[in-house]
Amino acid sequence: MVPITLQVNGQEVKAEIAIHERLLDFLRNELKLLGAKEGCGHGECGTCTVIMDGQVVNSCLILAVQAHGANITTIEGLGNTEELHPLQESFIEHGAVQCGYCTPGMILSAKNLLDKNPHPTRKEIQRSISGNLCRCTGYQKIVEAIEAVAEGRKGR
Amino acid sequence: MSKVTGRARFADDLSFHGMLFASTVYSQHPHARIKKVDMSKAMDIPEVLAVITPDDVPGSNGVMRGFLVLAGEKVKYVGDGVALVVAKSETAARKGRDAVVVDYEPLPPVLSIDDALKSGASLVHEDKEDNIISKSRYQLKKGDLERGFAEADFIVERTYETQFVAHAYIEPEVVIAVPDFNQEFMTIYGSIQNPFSARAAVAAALGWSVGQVKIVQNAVGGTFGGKDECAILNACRAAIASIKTHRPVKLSLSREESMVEGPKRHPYRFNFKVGVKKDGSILAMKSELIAQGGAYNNKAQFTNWRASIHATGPYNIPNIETRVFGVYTNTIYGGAMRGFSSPQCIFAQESLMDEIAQELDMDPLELRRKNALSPGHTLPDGQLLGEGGLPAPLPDIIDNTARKFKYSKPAQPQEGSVKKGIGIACGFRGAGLGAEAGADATGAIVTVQSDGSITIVSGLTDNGQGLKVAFSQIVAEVLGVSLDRIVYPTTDTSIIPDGGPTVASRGVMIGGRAMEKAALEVKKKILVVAGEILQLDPEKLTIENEEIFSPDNPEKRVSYMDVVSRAYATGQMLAALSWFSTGVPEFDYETGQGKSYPTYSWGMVITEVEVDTETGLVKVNRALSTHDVGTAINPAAIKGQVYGGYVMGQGMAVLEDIEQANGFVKSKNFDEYLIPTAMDIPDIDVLIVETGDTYGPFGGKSVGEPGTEMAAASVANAIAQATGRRIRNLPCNLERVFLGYNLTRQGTAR
Amino acid sequence: MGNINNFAYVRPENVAQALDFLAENGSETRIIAGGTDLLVEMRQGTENFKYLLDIGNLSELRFFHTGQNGVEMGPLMTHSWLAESEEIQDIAPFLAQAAGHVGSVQIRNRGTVGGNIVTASPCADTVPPLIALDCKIKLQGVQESRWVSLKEFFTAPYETVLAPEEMLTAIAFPRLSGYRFGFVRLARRQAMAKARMSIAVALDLQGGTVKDARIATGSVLPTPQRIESAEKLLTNEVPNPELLKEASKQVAREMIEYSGRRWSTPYKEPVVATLTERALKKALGVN
Repeated sequence: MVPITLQVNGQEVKAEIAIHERLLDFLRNELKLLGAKEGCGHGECGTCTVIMDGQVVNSCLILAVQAHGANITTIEGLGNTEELHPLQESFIEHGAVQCGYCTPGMILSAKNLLDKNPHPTRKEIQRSISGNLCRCTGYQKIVEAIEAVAEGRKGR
Repeated sequence: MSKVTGRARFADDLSFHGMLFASTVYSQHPHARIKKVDMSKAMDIPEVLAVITPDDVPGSNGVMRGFLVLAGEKVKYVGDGVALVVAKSETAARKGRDAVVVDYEPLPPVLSIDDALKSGASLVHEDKEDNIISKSRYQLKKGDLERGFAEADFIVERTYETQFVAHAYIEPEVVIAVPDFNQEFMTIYGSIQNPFSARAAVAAALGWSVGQVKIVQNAVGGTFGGKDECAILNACRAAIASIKTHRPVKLSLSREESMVEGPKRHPYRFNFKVGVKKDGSILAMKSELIAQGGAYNNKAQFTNWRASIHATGPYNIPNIETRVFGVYTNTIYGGAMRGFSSPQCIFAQESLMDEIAQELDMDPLELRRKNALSPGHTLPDGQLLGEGGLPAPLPDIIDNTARKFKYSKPAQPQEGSVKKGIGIACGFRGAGLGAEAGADATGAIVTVQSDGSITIVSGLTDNGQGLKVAFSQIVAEVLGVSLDRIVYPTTDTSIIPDGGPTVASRGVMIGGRAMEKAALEVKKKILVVAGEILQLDPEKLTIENEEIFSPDNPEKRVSYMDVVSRAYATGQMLAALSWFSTGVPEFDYETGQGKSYPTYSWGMVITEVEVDTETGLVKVNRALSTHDVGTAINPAAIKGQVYGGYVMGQGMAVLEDIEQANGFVKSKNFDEYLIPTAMDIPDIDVLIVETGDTYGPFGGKSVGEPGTEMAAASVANAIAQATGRRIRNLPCNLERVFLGYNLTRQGTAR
Repeated sequence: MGNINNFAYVRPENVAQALDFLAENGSETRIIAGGTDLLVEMRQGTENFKYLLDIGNLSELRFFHTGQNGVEMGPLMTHSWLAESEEIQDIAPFLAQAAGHVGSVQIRNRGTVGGNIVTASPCADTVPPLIALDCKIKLQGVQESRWVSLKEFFTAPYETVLAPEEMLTAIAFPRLSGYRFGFVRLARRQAMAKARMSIAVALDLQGGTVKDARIATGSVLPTPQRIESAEKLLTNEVPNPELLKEASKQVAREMIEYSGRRWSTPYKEPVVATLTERALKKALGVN
């Protein structure tokens, strides 16, 4: 077991973890942050996406020990039931959610894009979510939902 | 709402006190006799509590028409489970799984349709006479085939084949079995598409009655028809492990396990012979369809029946003979997948139409327009279209779609290595289950609670496709109340009779009709109570915006809440359980003639692609997908279904293929099995056509499957048009588009 | 996840500590930086190492210097950085482009150029441009270090000359002033797909004559390579369409000479020539 300290959704977390534990397992099993999910375990589907030190990453491809000292944002760190993040609101409004399994990762990828590039083109939006697979929506409404936020049709 | 905040709970997000973890030992051979299972090394692992073999199955090891909870004597494909290891942690369960030693005696595997039909082929199921799936044979006969051929100016014969396609839902299968403390009841949570089928199988495996098993549905991360046999077998395994250990047991499949064990879209081979007149009219069509069923099959009899009705396409062909059957192979197996044999049929059928057009030197659009089923024609099953029959909107759909897309045949030849092509596909789809398995029926419960909230329960399940919203809207609309009042608990098999599976786009059509019926009954009861308060004839009352009044005398009104209070105070029930059934259809299975489906939905897709002819790379540029939805209840949701459906069909056309070598699956994860990403999608436009069909609730017809079924065909036709070369086997991958044939590691090409 | 065998986790504070550790335990140690390749391998359960040495936080390995002569950078520079860096876009635009094709945003944010090199996958995206740049890499041991030409680093797919006690600590390439660059990559879909084949080209064109030609391939030969026979055809010649075609075909011939005719040859032979021709044309700015 190895001690780690990190920031998760603005709170300091200290834990003792097994070496082989992935960041995804740590978030889900230890912190009960269940928004990040496993779809492939291979870095191919993006459902495990979290933001680590300002960048989206696949939490299935990071050992929890590697996150020592890092600052992590998960979907639970965005908005809440009282007040949704504009992206969350826009996803609902645009019907960008079907089964919802890819949605947390998708929203985090979109947030990371808009944080860096508030006015992306459609191509840039597509590229930013190309590491997040979705099998239900055909992506079109997801792209529209992100576009709406970027164009300020949804308060930021 | 909870889905955007990460708070929606999927099966893998659930845990129970004392929960154990299980892992399945999978076969190491596509076909082999099991000589010995040595579990001693697995049992030596400290956290491993049990290893379960077929001997531990308390009830029936055989479930769902021939599937095995665990294979005991022989394995028939690499996804067969041989044993189950139960441990205190997932890691230990998987370690234990790898420590189980199974001794096999390999048998010659049957790997293809040709293998299966060869004389002297080894038998996939030794208790059967041959490798043909029983009950998978259907035929349709209309007119006089030989006369049709004799009158034709020429004959076209073609063969097409499709591949195994994965559902590729992003959530792999997860099930949890939770026993009650007396071991008299078992609750199963899981990503399961069809709770009632799951309940029947789990009860059979446990040797219990169905009432002792309860399936509770949580959020499901996509299914598209697929979270069925494999999810259910795993539910059976988890339940048995749970009985054996007296603890909740979770079985969570990795992506690789899900890809290897789970059902796929059936590959089909189509042999067509068509008789055509010089003017383009199609006089006769003979088609033979063979489905590759894989190791087990409880769907080919249904997919094949649907195929037998749809194989000749939405065209007015007076003389038809269609024969279809399926075969067993020692490979991954075919199950239900969005479209249920139609995407395969439409690919073949619409490729054929384009090839006929080419032979005639006729515009493919013109050929379709000429042969389109129109008012006055009869469907392949003999049902009349038009006046006194079913709606026949295809001719208008063809015209309107072509106009909106600004269809024109690109000039040939084109300059440069990147060539554009435009492809068309038309389709029709029998609504619901039809005569597939007798009557199509399901139930719904609508209950007005004392606080005015309305609980609705359907026998069908929301798998992410939005049934919850659709059902809520139906009830709110009928009862004239705010949508906020509707509460939709997750499906629970113990509170509503078996409503059959949520398949075949039955959701809105059958489930919605049942829901509408229940809501209407409740409305009647509300009006009776309101009538008492208002001293008016309930027959004359109506509800609008939560107020009940008579249109003749709108001043006199009472609020919905006052009615609810009075009903509860005076002991009157505001609830109804209703059942909607299509009745047993009149249908002759010998000839395929009769009322195959109560109605059809019609559509057309046009796709434009760009093909890099020097590399074979296909880019799908834009598409227009037109659908007859009866009455559009929720246009935004319809578009959502069509976008998703189209992209799934696009994947089938150009990317997706489960690569197998000697019965072993090569594409086990998303690095090898490629589905479209957000960068791959075209601009998709949707044209909604309303036909005033009275069949669904408020006249609505489902669009989940039509949305996907024509896409692959339109893409393939666009590619052929761009390159001038027809690819008759899907997918149109780099190698096929460039070379005209496929390359595989074993060097076999098809 | 797969079978995780027990291993010990070691987080050195600096490169010297890491090298000391490798000197003792190199043959039983795997180094982890971004982890995007290693965690996939661990999931397959094929790893067998006793120690996991995490160099991900060693700032000594995360640097970028550029001068008159060229570039020197640390192995921990990520693909995202390479793809977005204005300096890389200026000095070696085809390297930035190649890095931008690696995996997804998520993978590029974690995956490092050092990892891309050391993993030695035949389809590593950044390697062909680096080889075309005549990249040298520094392999450091506790006692001594050596600079190895990147094209000589790979011995077979997933195998290199890196010794167990050594670590990749720097990547350097000269500034190819006046060169023109081209990179072409073919994959089955528009994003997140392994390169089926890739070609990186650098050309020194003086007064219309090719003074120096470099053609490097990925997923064409078992390891990423320069195709010198094709380069020779171009050197000291004035490029014309026939010449470009001939040089491109030479790359295909070289592939077959090296690997023989295989199941994939009917496709790869013509297509690798097409891709090479496109990369050359890109470099020359012609269509």
